[in-house]
Amino acid sequence: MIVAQIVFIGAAIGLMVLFLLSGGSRTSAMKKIAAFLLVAIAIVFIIRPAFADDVAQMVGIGRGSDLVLYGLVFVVVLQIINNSVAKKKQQKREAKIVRQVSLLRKELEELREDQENTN
Amino acid sequence: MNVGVSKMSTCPTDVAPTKGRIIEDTAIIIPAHNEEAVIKNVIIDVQRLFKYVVAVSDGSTDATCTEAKSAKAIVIDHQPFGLGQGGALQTGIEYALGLPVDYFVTFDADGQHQVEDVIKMRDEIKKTKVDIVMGSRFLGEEPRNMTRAKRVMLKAAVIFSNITSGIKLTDAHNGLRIFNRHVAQSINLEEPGYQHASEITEKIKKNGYSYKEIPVKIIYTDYSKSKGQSIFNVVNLGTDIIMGKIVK
Repeated sequence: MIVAQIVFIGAAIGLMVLFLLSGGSRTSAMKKIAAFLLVAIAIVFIIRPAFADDVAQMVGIGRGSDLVLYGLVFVVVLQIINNSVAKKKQQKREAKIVRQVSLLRKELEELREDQENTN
Repeated sequence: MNVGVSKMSTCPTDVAPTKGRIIEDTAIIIPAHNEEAVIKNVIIDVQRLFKYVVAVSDGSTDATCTEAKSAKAIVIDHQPFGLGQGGALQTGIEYALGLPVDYFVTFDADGQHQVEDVIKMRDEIKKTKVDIVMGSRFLGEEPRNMTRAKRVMLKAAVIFSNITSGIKLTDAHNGLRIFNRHVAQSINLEEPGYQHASEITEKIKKNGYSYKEIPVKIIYTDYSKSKGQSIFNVVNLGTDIIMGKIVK
């Protein structure tokens, strides 16, 4: 039972790392696959609630409701990290824009000053 | 481009204006956010010794820009919003790369840093040929008027920074640094806010820059203490650094 728990925890962490390291279309595809799987699993558990208990006991968690809760925690944490990544990328893009605009304005200001000094 | 140089300082320091040549191979980059009270005097003080002073007003809502321009500094204004101190430094560095200078200095706008220390650091970088020389307030004379809480916070930050970056420094969050053109061209600061200090340390390791620390004097005034990092923000900084390690 302990071994099964370690294996599943390791798999969850491994999935998260893979998720974080991959980028672009691969990440987008993985998210879609993950969302599909989650929905499929949820449907199965709704149709056969006892199945959740069977899976929980198989992995050493005990109750099906606990399994669902842990799965939910995992998904929420992943989403928080995902949002953090997206926010960081957005900040970098914004910074580049603000910087370029500021430097261009400075260049324009200097050109105007040079022109005034020439006239 | 007209850059005025003031030969006589009007700021209330106890150091007489230095006679002699104005240094033209070094750009002093001063990021500033709402520093209208002190920025003009800080710039004038720097201009006693240095020709190129680049002040970057980072989303300031007061008269920082006007005051800096009145001191005849090169002023760049981040609008419509600021990018944090790191973002302002990167903008200043990118501008200064277009100047005929060999060295680039990061210098705080609140009057904590001493221009004479920049001279010492410039001498050091020219003598040792390292890529970056950083100031440390913990190597020499004890900083004046530093509160105990600030001292503990900075020491903790140093330990944390040394562990996370793998670079051993005594004052990783000192804003006074001088580096060469190679560093200026490759450093590419991207982290917002005060995280740039940790980012610089990480870039030193990642890009293999040679470095050295020398003692510098930091003078805390009531004004500069009011502008410094709050202890609560240190928590944000620490978690952001850890998150930055997990999420690249």
